[in-house]
Amino acid sequence: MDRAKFDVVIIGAGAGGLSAGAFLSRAGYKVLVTEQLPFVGGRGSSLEYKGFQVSTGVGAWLLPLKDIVFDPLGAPFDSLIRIPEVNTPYYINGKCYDIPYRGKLRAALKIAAGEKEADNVMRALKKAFTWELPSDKISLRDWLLQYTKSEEAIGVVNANWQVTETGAGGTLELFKKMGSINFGFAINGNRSMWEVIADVIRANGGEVWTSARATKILIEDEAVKGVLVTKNLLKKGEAQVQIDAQAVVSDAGPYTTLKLGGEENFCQSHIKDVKETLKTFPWLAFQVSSSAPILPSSGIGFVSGSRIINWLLSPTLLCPELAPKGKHITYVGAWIPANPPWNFSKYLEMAIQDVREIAPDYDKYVEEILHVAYFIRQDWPMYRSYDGYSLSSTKTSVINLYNIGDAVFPRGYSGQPGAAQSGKDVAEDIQKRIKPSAR
Amino acid sequence: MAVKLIEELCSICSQCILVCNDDAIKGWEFPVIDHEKCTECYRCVLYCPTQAMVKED
Repeated sequence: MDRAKFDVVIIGAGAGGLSAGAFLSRAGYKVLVTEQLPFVGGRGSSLEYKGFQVSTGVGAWLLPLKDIVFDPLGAPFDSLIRIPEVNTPYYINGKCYDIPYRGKLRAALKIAAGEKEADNVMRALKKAFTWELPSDKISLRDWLLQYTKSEEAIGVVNANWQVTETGAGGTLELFKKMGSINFGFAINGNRSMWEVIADVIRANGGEVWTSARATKILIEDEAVKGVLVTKNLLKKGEAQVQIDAQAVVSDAGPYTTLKLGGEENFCQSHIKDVKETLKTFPWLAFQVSSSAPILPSSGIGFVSGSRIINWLLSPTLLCPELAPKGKHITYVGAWIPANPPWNFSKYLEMAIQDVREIAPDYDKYVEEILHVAYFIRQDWPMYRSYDGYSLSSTKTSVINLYNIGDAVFPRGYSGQPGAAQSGKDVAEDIQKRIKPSAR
Repeated sequence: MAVKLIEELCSICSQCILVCNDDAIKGWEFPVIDHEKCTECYRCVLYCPTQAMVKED
């Protein structure tokens, strides 16, 4: 078997893995990022299909990624992202409202449920934000029900984030921190953004291997020693390589980390933490092509008062590069139940009905459903865990073996910025504890 | 050596449908492979993040 040596091996080229790899390689560490898929970016990426850049998961780019990852690495961001003028229109009971950015939640609540219910919810939020956040022992929905019985009001919050399964504390902390967050769209598709970060790793002497699957994390005497990788998957040069490393950072998800390392090598408390804390978050995401825009606005439209959908967005109004000339893509998201039994065809039917009501031109202009995804498994969910149910530490019980990505990001974070922040945090921790080898 | 889906591993991310060269995978739930159309290029196997799509020996 071939053998190679790196300071740090990172399993998975998602937002977390690439961020960790970029910060470490810039700090002088010899880094290998190994990715089982043929492309980088994971669920935050895109694939070209019939001339469209179809998202593999994320809808829009959360702008904190600029401050967390791109700016500190000196990587371009502003020239690659366009930001819609109206960032968050609300679709309430089938009607579109371009609500001024400041005070938008109160305004949306007022339209949906009336002044009194809006006041009740805002007062409760203020208490949570300025006095004390609740814990995650109850869901955000159960927390809200203490202050309003209005399903219309709860629906407005649910359009922003799933309220039934998320923990009240974790989600409110996220709202508190993300209250002022805006979105943009990647002009050349999501994948191009993560390729920029992969290039930072390469430019600093690191390597990013795609179609290279980690098959085993090597552990000896309570410490990580390296990784077995099968590279050039299904190609002529397919081969297994043993990579020796001082630290291993897994962006493959805490369950997969346990599998790759072998449960017998982890502390029972860590195994229990993983198995009893995380709650897989599936959702329905579908993308349609159309011959003309079917939405009036290019921001993320939050939807309340619908059968199932929670938000939709039309990136091609702002970024025509994402579709063949004259064509458009619309991305629709809907929360589905956390656990089976699922009725997928019913969810899609309800979602299409919802979009038809919001976009009366749907039947006139929509040409094809390009992509329908549900992300039901813990190995490849939309999110590895609902907010409030993340692991409290990126460290596993094995010395120098870390988890990063969704499911381990700091409280108050979510999505790609959270995943990237966890990668950055681990890169800092490694710099404190391990010296880079002389190159 | 055909391609086979292991449904218990499939997350329904539908990446296999996006990358199929032969337009041989369909379905808005678990993907269904049309073995008549499939030319066994194994792109679906490569692009499957959960190892649900496998090469059948």
